[in-house]
Amino acid sequence: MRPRNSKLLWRLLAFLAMFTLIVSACGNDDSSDDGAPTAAPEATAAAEPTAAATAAPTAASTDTSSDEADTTPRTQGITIGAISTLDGPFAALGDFSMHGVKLALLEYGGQLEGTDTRDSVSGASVAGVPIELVIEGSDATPDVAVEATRKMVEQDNADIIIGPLSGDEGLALKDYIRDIPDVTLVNGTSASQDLTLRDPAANVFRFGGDGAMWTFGVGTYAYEELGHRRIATIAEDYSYPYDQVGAVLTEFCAAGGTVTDRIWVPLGTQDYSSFVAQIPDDVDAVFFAMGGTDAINFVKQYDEFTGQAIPLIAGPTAVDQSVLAELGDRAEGLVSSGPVVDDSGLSEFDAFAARLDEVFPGQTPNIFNIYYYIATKSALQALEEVGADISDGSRAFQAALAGQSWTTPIGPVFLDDKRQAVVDMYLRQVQDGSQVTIRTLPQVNATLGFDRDDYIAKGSFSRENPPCG
Amino acid sequence: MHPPTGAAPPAGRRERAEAASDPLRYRLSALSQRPEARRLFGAAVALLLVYYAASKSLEIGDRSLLVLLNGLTSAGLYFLMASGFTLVFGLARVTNLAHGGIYLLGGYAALSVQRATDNWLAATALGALFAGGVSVVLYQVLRLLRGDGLRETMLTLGATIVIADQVLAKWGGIPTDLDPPSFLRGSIDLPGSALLYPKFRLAVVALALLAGLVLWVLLYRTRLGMLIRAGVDDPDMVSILGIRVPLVLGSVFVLAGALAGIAGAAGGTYLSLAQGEDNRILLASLIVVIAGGLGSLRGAGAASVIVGLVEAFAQTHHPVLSVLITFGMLIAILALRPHGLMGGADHARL
Repeated sequence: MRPRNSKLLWRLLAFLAMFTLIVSACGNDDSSDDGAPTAAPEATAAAEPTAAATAAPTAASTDTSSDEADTTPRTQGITIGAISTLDGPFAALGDFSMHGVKLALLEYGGQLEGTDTRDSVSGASVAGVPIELVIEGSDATPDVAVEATRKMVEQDNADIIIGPLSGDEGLALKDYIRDIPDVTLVNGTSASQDLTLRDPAANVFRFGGDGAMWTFGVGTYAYEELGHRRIATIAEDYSYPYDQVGAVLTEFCAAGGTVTDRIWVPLGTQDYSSFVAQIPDDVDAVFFAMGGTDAINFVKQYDEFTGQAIPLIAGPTAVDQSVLAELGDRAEGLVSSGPVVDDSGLSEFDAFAARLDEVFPGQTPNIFNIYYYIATKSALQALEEVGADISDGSRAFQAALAGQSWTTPIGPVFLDDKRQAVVDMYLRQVQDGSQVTIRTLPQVNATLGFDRDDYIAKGSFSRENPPCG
Repeated sequence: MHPPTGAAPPAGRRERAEAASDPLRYRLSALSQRPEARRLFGAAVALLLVYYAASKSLEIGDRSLLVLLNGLTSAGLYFLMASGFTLVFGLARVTNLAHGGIYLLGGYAALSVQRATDNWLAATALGALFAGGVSVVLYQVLRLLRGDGLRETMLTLGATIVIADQVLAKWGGIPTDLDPPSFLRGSIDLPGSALLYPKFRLAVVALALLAGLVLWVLLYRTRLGMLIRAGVDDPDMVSILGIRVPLVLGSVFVLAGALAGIAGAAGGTYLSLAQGEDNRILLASLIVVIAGGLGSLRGAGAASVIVGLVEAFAQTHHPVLSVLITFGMLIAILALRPHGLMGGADHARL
């Protein structure tokens, strides 16, 4: 009797536990799946999307809602689809980026529907046209990013895509979106050079720097001001760190310095001990380019193994404000280049920081919330200029977007003829857990000030490119 | 290659015909049928590899000591994971793909305890307890499936996803780590060189050795261990003898979960805790368990040392190929011993 009873009890307990786990897990997902459709009736109360929407992927830009639409050419809302890494290793960064998107929409009369990352914003409008927000997540892999974007374009009729977050996702989305000229991609934080540098797409816009631009200036500074002559580099083994190492070495070697070793580690390495062991003793500094968990693991282990006997120079995202707290004291004094500093004194930055903390308590500015904010706000400003009319296949809107020139929380921005931003960068140093300006590097462009044809002819940065010494 | 004198019977007609039609295949099969030749071949390959490793290691001088210690540290962490995994497989025949999730859960639970009490040992103990608890709950759910292997595996895979989401919701996605206990903070000077080595990493090796010792005592010196070993050999017979197999199985799940929890706390201290770590550690322990032989504890021990050392060596000398080399080694082991280093043909040997 007893064994049987206790067995039953066990199973009941286990079942209950599993059930609560599943229910709470689904709770998270529900909001993402259902959030957008339930938001739609409020946002587009004037005119429900027609049933034919499924027939044409970009129906929103061509339909005129038959009978109801008589005065204006277009009474349907405009849909913005935001994509970032809401799962996987960069999940926290995905949260940050959505904060930026939502802050921009709040400025246009929107209201948060909830506090969860996947909760949308309702009630926003530009020139009387309601703006709807759809949120999708990826796990930082290009395939998932393309599928999520395809879903937003084909099922949610998104007209504008904001995102993605990581480099290779950006390249994949460029290839996808190129064939759908009515839809516009405004990049989030994807920092691949070739999103805009080589073979650009007419409907892809980037209002921020790329991996090489973010790293601009630090190579020269290391040679001239810090007096380094020989350095080693250690970085993750894929395109974005190639760009960072490439930018540093381009300057450092042009100044006369040499690089002894370029160490490439697989993305997501946990244990850096064997890589740290390869760094030679006779270099003046070590440049490291890593992101997120990798940066935290590397800096910690480099510190434990060497006591930072050879000084580190950091890549832009390795010491971004989003990981500084976790890096702690070990990051003190690290020099890097990057787009965001905490002491720029720009009124736009202080206003952004205050508003961010007000809407999302405890959040502070970092590259992700700022870049997604700039992307979304640029799109909304351009929509305003064309009266939120994208019925011409977004041509006028895209022209207005290309002409955007405004002062963002991190300085002035305007686009070149490849729709790539020219922006200010900062040479900076970590002091007391925040990024302090050493000097401002004004108007950094996609070719780092070199002649465009020469720069492109040198080829994409890779494990061996640029050659040095 | 000539067969050793006296060992081989004269080749028959059929054999000769085979040799003519497919000489390579004939030679390979001849090789595999003659233990002396096999041993000779194996020894030659091993000698070559050792020679290669030694010459490469001499090139970098005393840094080779670092490589060796790094390999052993990884081996320690892998063993903590793989021992539980292999025990569960040996006894319950469950491929528990949630083992990585339990690692993460144990690590994060320890993190919460450490933030509250500032005591690493207490944090690790409670993290292990929590992981063991989750593991036994998982076992109870698995029992509902009554030994349907494929569905059990799918269920554990699902549990991984649920756990990862719960961790994300509770602890957030920003990578973080535990502080080592104060007496293990910092590094020591390696004797005879100017190199430093973090104290905590050495402690991980000690921890793994301790875990191995405790497991050995438990398996070979206690009644429960006797039942576990008997259960691995012949579960039907054990249950016929009136022993409550579910109880034995449950305790193995607790043990495996607790070991994963300890690994989570240790890994979360000298590496870090983040989304995705669960899959990474699961993959590493799968390699170790498969190379060692599913279900074999001694195999897990041997394989974790081999995998750890090979990985550290490859990362140092061939960083770009390191992942390839690790898997290549697994393939080589499986080609020579299809059931892993110490796996049995039809049942596992602890």
